[in-house]
Amino acid sequence: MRDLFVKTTGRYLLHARLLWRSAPGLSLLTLLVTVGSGGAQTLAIVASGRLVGALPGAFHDGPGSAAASDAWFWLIWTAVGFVAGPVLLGVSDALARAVSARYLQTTFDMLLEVGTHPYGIAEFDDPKLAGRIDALNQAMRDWTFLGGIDSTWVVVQIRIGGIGGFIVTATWNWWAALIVLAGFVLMSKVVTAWINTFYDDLLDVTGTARRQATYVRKLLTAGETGKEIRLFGLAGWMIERFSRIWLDAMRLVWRNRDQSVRNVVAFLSISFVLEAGAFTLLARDAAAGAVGIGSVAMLVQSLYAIEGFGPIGDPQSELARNTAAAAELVAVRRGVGLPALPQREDRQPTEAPAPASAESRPDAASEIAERALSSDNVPRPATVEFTGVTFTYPSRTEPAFRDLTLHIPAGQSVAVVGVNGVGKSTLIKLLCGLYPTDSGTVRVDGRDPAADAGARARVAVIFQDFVRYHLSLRENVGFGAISHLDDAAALSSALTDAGGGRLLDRLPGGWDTTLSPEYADGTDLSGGQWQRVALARAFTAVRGGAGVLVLDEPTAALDVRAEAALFDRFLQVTHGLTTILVSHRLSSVRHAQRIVVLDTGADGRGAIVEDGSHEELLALGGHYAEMFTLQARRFTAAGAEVVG
Amino acid sequence: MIRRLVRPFSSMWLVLAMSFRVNRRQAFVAMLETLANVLIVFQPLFLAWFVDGAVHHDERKMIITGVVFAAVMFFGFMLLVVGNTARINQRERVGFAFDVEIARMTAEIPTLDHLESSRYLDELQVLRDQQGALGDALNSVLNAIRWTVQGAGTIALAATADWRLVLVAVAGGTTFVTTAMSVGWQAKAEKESAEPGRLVTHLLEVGTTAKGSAELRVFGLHRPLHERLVGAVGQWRQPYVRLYMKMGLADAGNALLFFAVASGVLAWMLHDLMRGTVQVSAFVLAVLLVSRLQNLSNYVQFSIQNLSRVVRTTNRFRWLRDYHAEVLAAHPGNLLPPGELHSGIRTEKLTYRYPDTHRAALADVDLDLPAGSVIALVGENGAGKSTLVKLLTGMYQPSEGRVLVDGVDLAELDLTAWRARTSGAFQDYARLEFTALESVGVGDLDHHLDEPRVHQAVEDAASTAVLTALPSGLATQLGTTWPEGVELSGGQWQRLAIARGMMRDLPLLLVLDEPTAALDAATEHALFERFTEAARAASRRGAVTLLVTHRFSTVAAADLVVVLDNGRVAEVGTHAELINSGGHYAELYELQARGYR
Repeated sequence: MRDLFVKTTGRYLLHARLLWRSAPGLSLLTLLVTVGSGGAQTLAIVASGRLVGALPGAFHDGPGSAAASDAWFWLIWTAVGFVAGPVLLGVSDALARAVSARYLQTTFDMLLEVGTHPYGIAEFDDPKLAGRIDALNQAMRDWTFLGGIDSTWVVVQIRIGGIGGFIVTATWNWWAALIVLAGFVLMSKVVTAWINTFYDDLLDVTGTARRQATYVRKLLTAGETGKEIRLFGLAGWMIERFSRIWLDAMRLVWRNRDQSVRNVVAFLSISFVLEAGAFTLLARDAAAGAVGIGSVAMLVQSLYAIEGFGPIGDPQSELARNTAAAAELVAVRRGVGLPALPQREDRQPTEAPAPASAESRPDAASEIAERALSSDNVPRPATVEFTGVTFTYPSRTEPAFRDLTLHIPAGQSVAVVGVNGVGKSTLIKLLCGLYPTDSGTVRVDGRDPAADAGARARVAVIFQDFVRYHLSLRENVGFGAISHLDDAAALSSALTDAGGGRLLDRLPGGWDTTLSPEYADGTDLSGGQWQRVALARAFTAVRGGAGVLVLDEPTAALDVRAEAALFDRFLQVTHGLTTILVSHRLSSVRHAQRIVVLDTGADGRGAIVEDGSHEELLALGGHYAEMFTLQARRFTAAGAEVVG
Repeated sequence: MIRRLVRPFSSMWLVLAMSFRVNRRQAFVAMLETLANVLIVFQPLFLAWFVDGAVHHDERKMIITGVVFAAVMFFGFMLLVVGNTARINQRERVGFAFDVEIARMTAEIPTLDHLESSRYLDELQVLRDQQGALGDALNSVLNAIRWTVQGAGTIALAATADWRLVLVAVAGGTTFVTTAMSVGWQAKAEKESAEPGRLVTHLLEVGTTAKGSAELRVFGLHRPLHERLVGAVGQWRQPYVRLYMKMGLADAGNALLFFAVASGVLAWMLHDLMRGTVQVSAFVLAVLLVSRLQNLSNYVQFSIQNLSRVVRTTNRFRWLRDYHAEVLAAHPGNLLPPGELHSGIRTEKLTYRYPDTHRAALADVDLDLPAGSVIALVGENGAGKSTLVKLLTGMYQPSEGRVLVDGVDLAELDLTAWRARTSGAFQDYARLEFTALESVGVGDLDHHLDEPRVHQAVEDAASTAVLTALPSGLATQLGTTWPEGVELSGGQWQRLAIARGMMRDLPLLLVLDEPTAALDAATEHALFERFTEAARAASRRGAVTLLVTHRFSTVAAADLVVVLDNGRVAEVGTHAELINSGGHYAELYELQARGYR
């Protein structure tokens, strides 16, 4: 129980810090107005008490008497107290939403930072972290998270009313006030701890199971899986699975809750005895004439108002849910090496911890990239060196590569081929410095991309599962090099080079069209069109100073004509640049100056088994030659059939 | 008009009925909170009696009313706590029960149009994205009931204290007007914030999941993403900030008016009290009740807001239910598909237009897919290949024309039964993050845990290499976000999807919609050999195998090649015929073959 109290207090402190960080001025103003609203309640209690105190006299003496004018005076103050409370509450309610908006900006940004902060991506291979981030994503999009921020002020207002009630009561009998207060505080703590527990249960105890249930439900209702669910008749099976997982997880939660509610009921009876005792004491004092009628009228209200320290219900449980998620957010942030709260905007933005050199800041990185441009704005090609690289994925025990060496001189075009799963994409991730190697070095222009943002900025890459930003075409292309986002000419030529010139004409809003059908002014792109946009993004990165262009299966979604057109232009567009092309379409890669074949070596790890030009490798008669003839034969065979 | 008045009640009933169906006992316990609210109504009465006791120096009366007050208060609390627990539990249960319904209906609708139409997405975004949305609706209904009861009780109590207090209650009536208006404001704010809200979700997904993590780092996008997220959150919340500005002002205005009237009534009562026509105790009760009466308008407001939210959410649910029924009614077909095909599958003037556009994705397609044949369907992106596949499997309802299975209109067949006799694999395959066994096995649910069969399917898909790479073979959990989960590459996922398509025994129609796009040459080659082999085996039962591809190396082995161009059939014939005719096909073929010379 003690631990729970400490935890709750810590969470409220964090909440206050978050509000202060998000909107200091506005939070303070809202707080003042809210306190005013709670204070008005106390004013009404005091004034109405005085009013009642004057009543017997006024009743007795009639209009015009001193008691009557007293009554009129206090009636006015009662009215002021009555009216000020709700009016200020209305104002605070309006202000609260503005604070909440800022708070959401801060916390969502804090969550985003968890994803973008670590310099590499090794952290995200940990399924536990991924699961926690996913759970946070869900918790923070839940309306109770939002409602919890708004509820802050409701809770404060009620508590202020409680303080007023306490002070007024203390003027009669301070220890009675204290005891009643203690009863309510105890009750509130018990209830809050209890509510916190069952939301924590939702996050911790059933986290994975609930996520699984949500996952299956999403499969059922989302568009992407709709086809296979129908073809294979999976609806019933999935619904059964969804139900089973969800119910199993929740039954545990429900049982815990039902048990803990009994404790709460036990604590409630303590508070009851205290409150009843206070009323009895007041009755005796009043009967003894120690307390006047006006004070009795005031005290019955103030004793009741101390309830403001008691449990509040929905606003409190929403606030609890909100602070639970915020506490988890901070814990996850600490887990990836971030400070609890983000650094202030006016200070330096938090940066990735790995690189220590001054050149690691992004502006420095882009400077380096800019410097890499030669006078005619064509980037200098980069050299790429893998030397004796051994690498094991954090989630695996067996290394993907052992002692791999590959040196690519500046300006060379290299194709990497090999069967699925042999490590082609891993090679690229290492080149981008997304993982540190176990041993050996990866160098771009002699610098380590895993420790040096400047070296990483020299790499332009389009991954197989490139991101489809629900943003404008301009951003989708310009994200390759943020410094060129407003450079219309650069973006146009990147898009044209990627074969997307015609795409632009088809978009209703031109460059500003949102590339997603989920928005009113948005448009859906086909897989092939997306691939061109992604390619244009990589070309933009080259214009931004990248010296090596990496394409991971760039034509998977393109049709014959588009693919042919792309490759016809590709060599021309990338002339003089270091390019690494990963593809298993051998007709596409043959034009590369050099082809590297990855295959599982004798020890079962990825290794370079062949290295040479198309002609050399064909002459060698190894893996590559075999694969190429396999693909080619289908054409020659079919062709021969026709000719014959 | 009557409909509008009845709507809230039928909406409440929809949710409450489900609540009682799900767990009757708990549904009742959740109502205890309402009882607690009734008790709360009487609190001022006890306090007034207490003061009255003080006026008359009646110690006994004071002690009794004081203790009763405390007892009522704490019994009320107890009911609140117990009721609250039940309400939260019941909210989850009811939300879940409706979620199951929503998932069932969404997945049961035999066609796919609704999952691809933006109209559907807009209507059902809340139901689809917000798990437990109707559980929240139950919460709102219960709250609305509580507040209504408390409001009515307070008015009744006030009326017994002094008739003039009813005037005060009436002065709270302006709240009705502003609340009615605010419902409209609220709907508007909800609408305005929907798009930025979606963008927020998207940006967080890009920024915090493995999917975008690599690209963001290489392009140094954390700063731009941060800026856009902060901007999007601002735009998402701005409509609400404005909404509450208006509502806050309206509330303040209402309160001013209300207390002006209340103060007037109290002054009137004080005036009468001095003339001896109003008793002190009645006046005290009036003072104690005024703030309660003010809350009354809040209760009204909360109730209306909650109920209108309930109506909105349940309307969406009803919309889905009606749509579900409508689509089911449009597919009354109940004939069973033939045991084997004799003539094959034919299309007549088959046309399909997407619901949101007028452009025909497929127009006037007349095709004959003979029983027992392997047909290659080729064409450029957007030619209509996938649309044709969806029409043949009944995922789309033809806009015009029809599909005939051995001469029987597909519309007359039981679609579920027809699909049970089809199988397939797609370029946009599903990544089913279950165990590998289940992920493949669900291709034939009757045998989805049958390891030898799953092994066979994996082998038929030339994908044994994928299995051997998995740490626990078929028992491996797929997807890194799960405990012990393993991530697969795109190609590995795709091969499992193909294996899934190989699970069913001898289907009548096998569609392979570019399933090899992400695969390497060797795998692709091995697969095509298998496909053709499987197709030959299946052809004994007249099965039709439809191979959609833009790789022409595959095509030559097909019995028939269909070339689609801009939604129309451009050419049909054997590979040799089409090459010799020197048309569209020959040109595309040449383009690709060039790469291997």
